[in-house]
Amino acid sequence: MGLDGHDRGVKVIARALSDAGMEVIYTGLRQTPEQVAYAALQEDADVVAISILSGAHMTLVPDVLEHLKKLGASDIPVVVGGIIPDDDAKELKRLGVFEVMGPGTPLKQLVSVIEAAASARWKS
Amino acid sequence: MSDELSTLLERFKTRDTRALARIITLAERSADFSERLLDALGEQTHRRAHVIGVTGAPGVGKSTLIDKLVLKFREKGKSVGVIAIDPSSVFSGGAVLGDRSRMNRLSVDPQVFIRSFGTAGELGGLSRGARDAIKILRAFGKDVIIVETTGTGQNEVDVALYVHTSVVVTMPGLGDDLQLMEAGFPEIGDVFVLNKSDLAGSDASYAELKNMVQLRYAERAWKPRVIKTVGVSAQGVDELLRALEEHYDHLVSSGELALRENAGFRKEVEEIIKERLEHELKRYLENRFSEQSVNHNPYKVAKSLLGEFTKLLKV
Repeated sequence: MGLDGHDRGVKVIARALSDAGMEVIYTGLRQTPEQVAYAALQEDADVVAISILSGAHMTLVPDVLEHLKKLGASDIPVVVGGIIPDDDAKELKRLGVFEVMGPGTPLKQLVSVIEAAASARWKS
Repeated sequence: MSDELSTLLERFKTRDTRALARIITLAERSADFSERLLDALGEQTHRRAHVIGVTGAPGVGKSTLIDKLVLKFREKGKSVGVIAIDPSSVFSGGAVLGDRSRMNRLSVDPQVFIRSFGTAGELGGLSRGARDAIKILRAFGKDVIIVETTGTGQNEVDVALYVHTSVVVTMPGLGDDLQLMEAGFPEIGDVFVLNKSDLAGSDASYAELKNMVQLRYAERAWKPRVIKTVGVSAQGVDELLRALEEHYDHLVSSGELALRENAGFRKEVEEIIKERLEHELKRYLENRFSEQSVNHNPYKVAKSLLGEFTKLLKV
């Protein structure tokens, strides 16, 4: 999203989630928060996972949450990964982000966080 | 559950995208849901709509071309649904679906609905979920529905049964005329597209493709159009749009539209029976195999198990 040009990490993660049996819809680089929200809506996503390395997370992530809300899809959990300072992570979670994961998070843990997020939605 | 369906259908009728997306998910998950859904939707799944299949080898530029094509349909005021199918992993069942990343500009247009599907173990043809998605989008009122599949041979023959117009996309350098003559050459194209036609060698490829199409389709009433395009710059896309509309008009005026829909319906019934049988057979064999010892003659074992299985069948 935004001007972030890093897609190595997000592709590794997409692969890992796919290997865990999930269908991953990769939206690509330089999307707007609105595009991400519409994609989640049309695909009936169980989880929105955002990888951000640009430092713009405090702008982009709340924007995604806002657009999801506008589309009546705020029940879709949002998970964020990337270089996020602790204080920001706390604030994002306060705003409704399901989980924030930093660099070095083992892929296994990542998979189980996404699974937890998805199942939380199917219960509600 | 049936309460859930009726609430969803209420919202579906008011053109609620969220309900549409949800219904497609539930139909993909359960054949029973689909059965009840189609009962409720009735004739609406046969609303007038142009269902277009776009197939071709990986990397020929299908998604980018569709992106441009949808923009043209939108300029004409048509609402569009796109079903983008990518292969799933045979091992994990998971998939990375990337077609959408080439169409993202479209997705904030409320009149465009894009949905990604994994092939979900289906080797040829359309998965049950994708087939139902076509019907659901029709009932929702989409004027045009585009189904994108990655095809490399005969599997697109089955896909062609579920669409009105089949577009086969290729590009320069994918194969010489001999390869076009071999069995892999799609015999189901209504429109052929040579995409990336700004690449070197495109004139020769175009001539070969055109020759081959003339040869193969000489006996048919509809002579497939062969069109050069450059997806990234939308070159040739107007012509492609015209060819699609011409073909649809041909289907209507020749009466072939109804024939195609009938053939698709029969095929679908066959597929549903096959899917159910396969499911039952797997369950049956799981139990029986544990008792069955290794034998030198698989034919004999298969015959006796099949006899037993068919007796048990009360599907």
